[in-house]
Amino acid sequence: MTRSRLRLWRGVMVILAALCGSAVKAEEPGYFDIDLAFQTRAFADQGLQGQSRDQPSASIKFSFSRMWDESAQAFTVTPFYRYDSEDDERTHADLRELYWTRLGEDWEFHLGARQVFWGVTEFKHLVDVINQTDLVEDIDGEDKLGQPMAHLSLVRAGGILDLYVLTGFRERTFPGEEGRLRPPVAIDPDAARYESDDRERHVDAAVRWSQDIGPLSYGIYHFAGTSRDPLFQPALEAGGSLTLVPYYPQIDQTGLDAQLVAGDWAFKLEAISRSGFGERYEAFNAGFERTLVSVLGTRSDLGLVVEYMHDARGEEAFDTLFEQDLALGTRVSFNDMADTQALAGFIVDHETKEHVLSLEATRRLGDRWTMALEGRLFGGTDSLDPDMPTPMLLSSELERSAPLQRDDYVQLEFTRFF
Amino acid sequence: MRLTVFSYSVLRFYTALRRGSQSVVTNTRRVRLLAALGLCLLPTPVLAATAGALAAALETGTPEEQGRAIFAEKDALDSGYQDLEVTLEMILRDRSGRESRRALAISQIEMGVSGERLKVVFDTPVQIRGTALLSYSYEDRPDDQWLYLPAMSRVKRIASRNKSGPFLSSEFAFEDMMLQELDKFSYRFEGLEPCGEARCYQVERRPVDPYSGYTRQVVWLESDSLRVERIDYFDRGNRPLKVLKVSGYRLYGERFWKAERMQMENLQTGKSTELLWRDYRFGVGLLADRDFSTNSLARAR
Repeated sequence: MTRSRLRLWRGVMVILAALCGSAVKAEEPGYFDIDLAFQTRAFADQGLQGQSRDQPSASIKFSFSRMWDESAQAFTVTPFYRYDSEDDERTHADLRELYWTRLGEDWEFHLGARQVFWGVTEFKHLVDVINQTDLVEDIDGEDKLGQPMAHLSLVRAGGILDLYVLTGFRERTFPGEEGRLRPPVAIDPDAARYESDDRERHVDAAVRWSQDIGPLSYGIYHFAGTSRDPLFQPALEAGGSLTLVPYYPQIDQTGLDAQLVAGDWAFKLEAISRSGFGERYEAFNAGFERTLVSVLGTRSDLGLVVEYMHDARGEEAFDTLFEQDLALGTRVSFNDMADTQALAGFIVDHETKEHVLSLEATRRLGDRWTMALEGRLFGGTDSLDPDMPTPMLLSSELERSAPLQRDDYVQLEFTRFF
Repeated sequence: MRLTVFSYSVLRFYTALRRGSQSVVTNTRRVRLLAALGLCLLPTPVLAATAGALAAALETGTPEEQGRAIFAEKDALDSGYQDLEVTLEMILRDRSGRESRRALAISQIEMGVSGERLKVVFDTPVQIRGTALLSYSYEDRPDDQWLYLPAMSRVKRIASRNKSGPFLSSEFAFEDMMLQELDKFSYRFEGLEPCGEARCYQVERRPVDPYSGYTRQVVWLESDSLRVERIDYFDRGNRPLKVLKVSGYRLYGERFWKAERMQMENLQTGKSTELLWRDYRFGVGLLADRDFSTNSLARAR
């Protein structure tokens, strides 16, 4: 190595060390964290097309942020990468966040890829529309791809007004041929179709007003642009085999989320009205959460969640399995040194009797590790027959959760925090 | 632990006391504001005057009035800080001596007559880094509280009635950590007792809220500075539950006494939690809309 290259290398190291060193010092505003996670899924059965019963993977997430200008400006970057030993589509990278912030006395402006969550209910996130779902991560829709945007937030008259210009559309991720928890025919994401001629370059916009009035919190918004939820259209591949391709229409969606806190009860409502998928339609989630502290003389807190999910399209709702479903959940926080928590949920379609049982539990292992256990069991309808010809697998005679019936699984994850 | 309670309602009580009135006058907002301003600008003479009011109350009042007057005086001493930041280390110990540590960043702002705002950001253990709690406290109604969950970038409004549960799995309950406005207790003066080398006022206070985890607390306040030295907590069945001992007081800005160390022992389980308060900064120029809006939670990490 030549002397000049050595000097350059040393310079880079000094800058990096200064960045990281100052980021971890408590008095310097900023942070630099790394989460490294090892995950494995064990399925009860082989997949419909012979996919593996085991699915080990590993992921890494860097979180870096620096503030300057007396904390009036900040730069945040959060890259994420997962390697999956089975599913090529689940091996993926994403910039969860990459943005610049300018902070005023009663406003803030963000430019870049960000994560924005709206909503109050626990089982289905109906009003949450800004970020695309990273579906290969988990089917609960809580993992999101970074959405490029310009976002101005104004604190005004007891509420907050948010204005978004969303530049650049992110396609949903889907499990590949070798992946699990997918339709009986793999989706070809590279063949995505759009209503707009601008395709993924269409610029979307959203405006939201949110406010807290005593015990009531609410948010109301309008979104105009490319639907995050796609329709699926059957298509013939070059080789003559059948695939599904996603189609993203243009939509207008108005939404409301509201929560009323009364004693240890919280009453929740999410509702939307959406045009663009045929006729305009409405959907809502409504329910309550009750939190009981120190139950039965223990240190544990118990949360009870009951929610009803309704979609006016009924069985025609292609983008959700929960269109006439009742969900019951319970959350237990043990309030121990390891911060042990468990969450159990049961969702049932009251017409078809299809149901899902889901369990999640986490606990810290010392100061650097977390263990997380997750399991889902699907039931209430027959599973598909591997010998069925492909077009039959897409028959509308089948219950929509039929493809998931072979996908009961348990997932164990250990995360190391640096 | 916000033993340092900040409320303007206290000044209302002084005004009432000075007028020789037994009842608390409710419509004296302007008087209170003026009094608060006076307190900021001219601390020494005003404090002397309020101390006089306390002395008067102690001489002639009923035990209930005496107890309340002591806490009202304490409130007056603690208010006028405008805004503050402090870091907190929390050490949890179980009976066998196993330890778990947490580090938190706390910021607080006075909102004039409408109450105060408090923000708690969790720094370690790293597994919960970035989780944040925002609480608005009011004199006349329950707190509004929000929790920020960084994994989902989600701000969640939470029910503040559940105040008796453990705060971050510690021996401190939520209600011990939140801001404690004067009107949220009834008081009774029990006497002047020796405590260490000093003398302490002993005041019993009973939470007004039926959802509190306590029937009563006995608070020991050092008689010159009104610093809290010790609190005995009694559970819903009036059994001794916890003892808090406070030490390492330092004077900041020539008027605010803040403790460095608080030790909470649970008498029923043998567990304990130690709080170490470090690096108090007063009047750092925090802004309500910028630093205490629900927006601020997402960038609190």
